[in-house]
Amino acid sequence: MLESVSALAALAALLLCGAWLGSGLPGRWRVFPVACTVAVLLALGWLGWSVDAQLPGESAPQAHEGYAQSQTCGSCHSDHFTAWKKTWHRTMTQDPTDETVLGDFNNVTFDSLGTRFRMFRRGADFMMELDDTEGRMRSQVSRLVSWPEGPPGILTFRVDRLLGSHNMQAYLTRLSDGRIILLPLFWHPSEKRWLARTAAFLVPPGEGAMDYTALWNAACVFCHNTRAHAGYIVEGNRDLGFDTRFEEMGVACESCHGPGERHAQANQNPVRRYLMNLTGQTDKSIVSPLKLDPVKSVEACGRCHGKWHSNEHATMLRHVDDFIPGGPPLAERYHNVFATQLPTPELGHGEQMEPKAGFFWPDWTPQSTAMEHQGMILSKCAEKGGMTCLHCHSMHRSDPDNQLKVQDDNRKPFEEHNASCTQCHKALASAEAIEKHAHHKPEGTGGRCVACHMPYQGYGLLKSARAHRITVPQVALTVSAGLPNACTTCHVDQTLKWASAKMTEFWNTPPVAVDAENSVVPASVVDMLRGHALQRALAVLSLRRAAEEGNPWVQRTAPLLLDLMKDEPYHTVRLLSFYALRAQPAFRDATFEYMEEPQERARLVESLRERLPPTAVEAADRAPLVELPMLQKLRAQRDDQEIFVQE
Amino acid sequence: MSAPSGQHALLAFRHLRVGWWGLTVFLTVGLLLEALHGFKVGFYTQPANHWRREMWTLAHAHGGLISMVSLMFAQALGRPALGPAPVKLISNLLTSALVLMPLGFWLGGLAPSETDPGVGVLLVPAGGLALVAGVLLAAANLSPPDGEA
Repeated sequence: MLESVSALAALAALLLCGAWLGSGLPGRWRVFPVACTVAVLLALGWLGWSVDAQLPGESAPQAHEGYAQSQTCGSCHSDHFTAWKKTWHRTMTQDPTDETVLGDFNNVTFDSLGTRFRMFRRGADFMMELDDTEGRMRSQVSRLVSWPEGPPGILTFRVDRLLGSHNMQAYLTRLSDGRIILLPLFWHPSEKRWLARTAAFLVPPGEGAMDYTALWNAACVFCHNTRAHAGYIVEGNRDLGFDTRFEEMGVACESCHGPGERHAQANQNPVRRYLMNLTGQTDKSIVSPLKLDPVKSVEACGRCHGKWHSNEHATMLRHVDDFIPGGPPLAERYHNVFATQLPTPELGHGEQMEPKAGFFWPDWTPQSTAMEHQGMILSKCAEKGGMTCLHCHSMHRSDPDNQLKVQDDNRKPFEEHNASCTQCHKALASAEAIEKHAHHKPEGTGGRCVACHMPYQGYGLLKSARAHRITVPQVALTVSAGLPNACTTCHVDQTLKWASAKMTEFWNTPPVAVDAENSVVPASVVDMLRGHALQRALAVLSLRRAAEEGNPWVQRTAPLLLDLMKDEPYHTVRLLSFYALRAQPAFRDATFEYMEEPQERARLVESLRERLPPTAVEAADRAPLVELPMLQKLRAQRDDQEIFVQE
Repeated sequence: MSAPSGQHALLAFRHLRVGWWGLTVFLTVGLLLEALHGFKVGFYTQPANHWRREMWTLAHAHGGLISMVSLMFAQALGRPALGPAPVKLISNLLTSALVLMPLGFWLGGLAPSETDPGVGVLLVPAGGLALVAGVLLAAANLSPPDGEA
């Protein structure tokens, strides 16, 4: 409306000025300005008509088309470009510079899992040196590339590229044949410390610092850059290495919007742009995930925020990952390596298998981050309600950390106001309705939809993550499948029996029979004592959150956390236990090296135990959190199955 | 300097009036824009409204500048050097520019799209052409004072 009024006002002003200008001219020249104005308007109209005639046949971007680069996009879409520049997507891959390298390379040494590392500068270069006397790194790398024989000893690598910068920063080095491999240490920005890669993921004990590496050219490159050409070179049976390229470093505009060169060229014509705006036509020359149908919109994110592998991986390695958002369905050329085994026939075409620990809980809820797509497509909201990632997330109007969409008026994330959910569940939009539905105060964390329907059931990079399989809390599922329960991940001081009783009281769900331990011991404590490694990790992460929220009860768990720091076999769980302990007031400035040898760890833990407030010790003596026989019983039941959770 | 007479005097008066009123309007617009900044009015200051901010700033700046050109033209009308120039046409061109350019920028900022100013901005090149033509005509038709070639 405003645009039309503006156009009419401009037209009137133009004609009036033309007529008035003519009044200053002699004789027949008086009509010249008006004639010129009309001629220009007619020419613009003709241009508009000719552009309009082309538009209906215009096709969506195709995988083979040219890419324009984000700088080109930014010349028109400056807001979106600026917003994208603040995201972690942009810094997924970077060249190492003084500004981009977060790790400490000031000639520091770091001992981890029996290996000494040294990080130092050589001129402008960032170097990582490691003592490979046992030859484990050489053996790992030799699986990826033919290395010339050499004596075990000190290996020195130059950092050639960086991977990530938010939760962790990883360091990559280029080998002689173009292969780029992941070096064994990560930098943990929030703690400002080095970590062995094997100690950042949830990895079974017994693995050395260098027992895992990854070939960036064949794995990371596809989702950490825009349109990657892996460039694997094979001649006959000869493996000649990689010549990897990408359209743009990091996850840039065209990762989500598809190749934009044709769009950029077409829109250099201002008549086309104004015609689009005035007529409200959709510009088909570029992909807008917001305007795609829900399945394709979710796939635009899910290609990387989900585990999908190409059906023709060998071809993809030699050429390019030709997925583009809005293009052919993901399932045509990629298989959801885990969801193909899902018990929903329409989603998969593989044989039915048991959910594999480390990837899925027994009910197929994903256990790790980067599998949000797998969780989401099992949600009723997506299956029946057409929910997409963009109902909650935004790439251009969001906080950079979780990319949760913010409200225009107060810049608060949608989910804090339940606005993501009440877009569809309108009956729950009012505070009164939420209180009645959730039986929690609407202004508190319990009044947020995600607290109950997206509980912390996933793990990745030393954090717990909300499940993206949106469900109704079920105590029965916790009993049968071991998933952390929505109620007791917040109410860490309560038992599963209590949770079952509350659910019966609030929502009339049938009571669930729980075992003796879960009748008297808080669920978080049960999980940390007898759960498997992932359950233990998630339990201590819940205790950390509760401590950070000021829940005084968690101080009672300090002795148990100290025990875990001393005796827990998984490195990562020891570290997470320390973080949970450090969140308590008495331990705020505590230090602990979780990778120390057991004897040294025991010494450190005993010195920390002296910090327990005397009142807490007395209270524990009078009324222990877990009676000794029960404690011993739970510890004896600990699930020691091997679990390996990556990102 | 001799006093202008006849048509020149009328035009000089018109341009003095247009110039001073133009300055009054566009300097006031500048104050209003500062107030929009001062009170952080989202309609003007939010990043998503950068086109509006840019266009209205340009409207203010061009309006003020062309008003001063108008005053300079009024002063020049009293000088013999401008005697033979088509002063009526130059006057109309400068006055058209004073209307078209600020109005075009203002309309361009009124309802911009994500990538472009509103369609009203098309007045700007028309106003720009008028301004260039007016200034060019004045420059090309200057004549030296009597006795100097």
